[in-house]
Amino acid sequence: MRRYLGNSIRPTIFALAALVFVAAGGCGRGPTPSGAGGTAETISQIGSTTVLPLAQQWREAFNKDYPDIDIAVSGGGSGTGIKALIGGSADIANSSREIKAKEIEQAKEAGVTPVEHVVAYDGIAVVVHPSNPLKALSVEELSGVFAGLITGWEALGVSGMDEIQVVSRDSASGTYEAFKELVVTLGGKDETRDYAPSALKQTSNQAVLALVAQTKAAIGYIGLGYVDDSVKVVSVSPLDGGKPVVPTVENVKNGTYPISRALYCYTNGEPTGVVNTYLDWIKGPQGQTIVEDLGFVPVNEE
Amino acid sequence: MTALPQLSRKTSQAIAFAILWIVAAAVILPVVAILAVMLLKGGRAIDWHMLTSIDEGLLPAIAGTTLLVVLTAAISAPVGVAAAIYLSEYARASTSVRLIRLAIVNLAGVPSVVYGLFGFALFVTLLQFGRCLLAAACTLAFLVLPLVITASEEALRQVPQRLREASFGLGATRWQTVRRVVLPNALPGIITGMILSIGRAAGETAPILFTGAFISLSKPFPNSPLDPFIALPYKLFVDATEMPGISEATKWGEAVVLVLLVVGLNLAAVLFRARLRRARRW
Amino acid sequence: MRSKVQRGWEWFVSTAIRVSGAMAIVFVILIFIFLLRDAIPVLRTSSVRDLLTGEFWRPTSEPPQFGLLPLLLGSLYVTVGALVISVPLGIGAAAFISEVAPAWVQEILKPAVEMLATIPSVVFGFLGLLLVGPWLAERFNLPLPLFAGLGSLMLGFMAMPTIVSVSEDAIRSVPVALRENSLALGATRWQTIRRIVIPSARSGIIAAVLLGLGRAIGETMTVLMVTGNSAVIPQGLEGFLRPVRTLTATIAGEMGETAYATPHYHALFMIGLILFVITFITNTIADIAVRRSGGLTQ
Repeated sequence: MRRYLGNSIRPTIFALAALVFVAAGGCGRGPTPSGAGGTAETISQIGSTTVLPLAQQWREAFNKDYPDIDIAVSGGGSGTGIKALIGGSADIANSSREIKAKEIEQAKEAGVTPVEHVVAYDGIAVVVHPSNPLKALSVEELSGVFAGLITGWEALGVSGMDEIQVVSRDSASGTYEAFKELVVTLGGKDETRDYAPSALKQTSNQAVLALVAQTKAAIGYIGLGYVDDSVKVVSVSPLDGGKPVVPTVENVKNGTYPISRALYCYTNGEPTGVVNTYLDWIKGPQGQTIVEDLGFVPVNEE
Repeated sequence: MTALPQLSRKTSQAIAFAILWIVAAAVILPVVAILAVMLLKGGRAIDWHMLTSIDEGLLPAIAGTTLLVVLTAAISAPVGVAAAIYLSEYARASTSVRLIRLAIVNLAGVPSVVYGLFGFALFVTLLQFGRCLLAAACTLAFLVLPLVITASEEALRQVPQRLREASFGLGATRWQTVRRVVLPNALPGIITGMILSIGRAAGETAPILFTGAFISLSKPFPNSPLDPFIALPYKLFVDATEMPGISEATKWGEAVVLVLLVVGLNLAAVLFRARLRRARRW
Repeated sequence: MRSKVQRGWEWFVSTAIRVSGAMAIVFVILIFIFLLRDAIPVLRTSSVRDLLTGEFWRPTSEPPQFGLLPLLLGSLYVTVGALVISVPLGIGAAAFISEVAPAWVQEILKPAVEMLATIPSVVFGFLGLLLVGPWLAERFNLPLPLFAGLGSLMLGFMAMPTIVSVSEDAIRSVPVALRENSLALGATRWQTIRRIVIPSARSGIIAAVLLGLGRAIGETMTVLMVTGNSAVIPQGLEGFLRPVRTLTATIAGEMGETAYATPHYHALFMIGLILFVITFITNTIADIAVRRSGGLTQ
């Protein structure tokens, strides 16, 4: 006489499911760092897409001098990089924003001590379609536009187009955070302001560039090194008044361009061994030449 | 009677069939057009250098994808084929079988990004594989499992019952029958299923985003399963959206290479399966 | 007879095989538990109503808002649009292949549809982003080259092969006798198809549509690349011409940023859970529908 569920399947399923449930419940504390991202000799460098082309060129040039050191580079956004650093799957987190207080707390809980290294300076350029006659905007006006408070081109003195199409990065991006801090929240004066929900969130600087280049009514922001002929750059006048400043490497260097920020690499603790060699190289003359070549602003020699 | 003129049944049929022909064209023409456009735009960029160069070309990506899918197949094959054997040869009670089939259908329907979330937390973080071939392959193995099970089960069912009966008649146990009679005859079909799953895994991006795919590597070719790798679909995504300074032709070229790879694998499976059907001796 | 060793081995192997069979169920449960575990905590700070009806998805604001409504509607718009394209084309193609097409056309059409099914989603996204979107935007003077309708168009072609093959199976499994009786009674082939074959295959066709729906709703890379990623609530038909943000693209786009165990992290897992539940429901209903129609021929 066959039992209804005649074979050993049912108890097997329940046993396995129970096992899995217990295991899943037991490992609830969160990721623990395993020390290095991969094998002892592989440096895993993850994060900001702004820093990505820099990181790629750094790696290639570095390996010419040090062919035995393994480096793995990837993007995903500043937030991804820092999260990977905390979780232990990255040795270096590339970031185009400062690490947040919450993240430092998380890191402490996971036994990770993030150490900040400035590797370059960057301006964030505001760009529009080449056919757009707009020349300059103030930080206040920019904040209004990107926060969705100013929605029509008429209000900015541009006729012929209706709605402003705001193009932004998504929240994994350090550029997103930096622009928010410097512009949208008026330099921190109005922390309640945030990007308009209608902003089109793109995954990278290049994607923002491509979209703005194709959309007449668009306005967006990208790292200075990404600007090319397909878009038009808007000059920005600072919060406390003054003439509009064109975003150039010079103006970022001399501090007159209001939307400037540093680019960082974060490590777990003070870097040692191969990571240290790599970071020193990045901050040194060869690394910084690449920074300049790509349109960013090199770190001053100390 | 109505006052409207009635179309004769023949006319209705003619119209209906014409619409269906148009539907068929609407399905096929865009596909053909797009393939043509892709080849036109991207064909230019494809040359020996692009395919085999390590720094600027696709060789690391092609190699990475190849290693990834082979590892995925190796991981999913044992569980998948065994599950198929269970369904085809051992299963009796209908409720458990229904549950299993339901589970398979559902595994097939899970969004790929959810697999990515799952794989990152389980393999990369919890089991501490880190971001590497192994973590990505395990994640993809989950994703292709339904495909392997379904294809293998179909292959097993194709083996005629009389072969099993003959084996039992000679006193063989069930496992002996499976191992010596059913499996060998089903093997080609099972291999077809593996090729299909490889084709599927080769094109997936979301599951490998967080589990091991990188953009730029010192060691472009992974030496061990715990090494990171470069994969073609992710490279295409990044080159199309994140990387500055890549020419249009190169982007299209990469897309063409990926499509050729995936379509090629599936074509191989289909042709293999067709040849099997013709060669079948029962 | 059999030795103890042989019997032991036999037992071991058959247990291993039974366990493997159960693995599918275990895996589904595993994924569900895993999603649930990391999704539930979001309910500490946001009620279910806040989540499902909140109009603003602002995960990085102070305080953060996790209204899923724009995302749910974004996914809905893109999916419904995809079905509008793929269902008529899919069922029509299936009917065409099984009932109308001459053999040589079948030989071309079937493999073509199968090949379409294998094209990776990132390639569809690429096509939409670089070719179809800009072309449509220029031709029809659209405000943006990235919009919901573009996602629907690409997804429509991605979901179509599923609908075609499952519908075709359902149509083929309608007994020949039914067709022959109809023709014997004097009906034309079209009348037979319309009034006998398709209604008989109804369950299977419904299953096909549901599976296509599941495919469309779960698609990630394509929508990430072509729908614009703007978390606004789409309005009316015009909403198809404007950008939206889908559930899947939100996870893929924001997953990297979130630190472990923050409300944002849990909210993203909640989205993952919702996606899982939706596809689970559609797949289960499809499964029941297929069984009702007497199973599929294979």
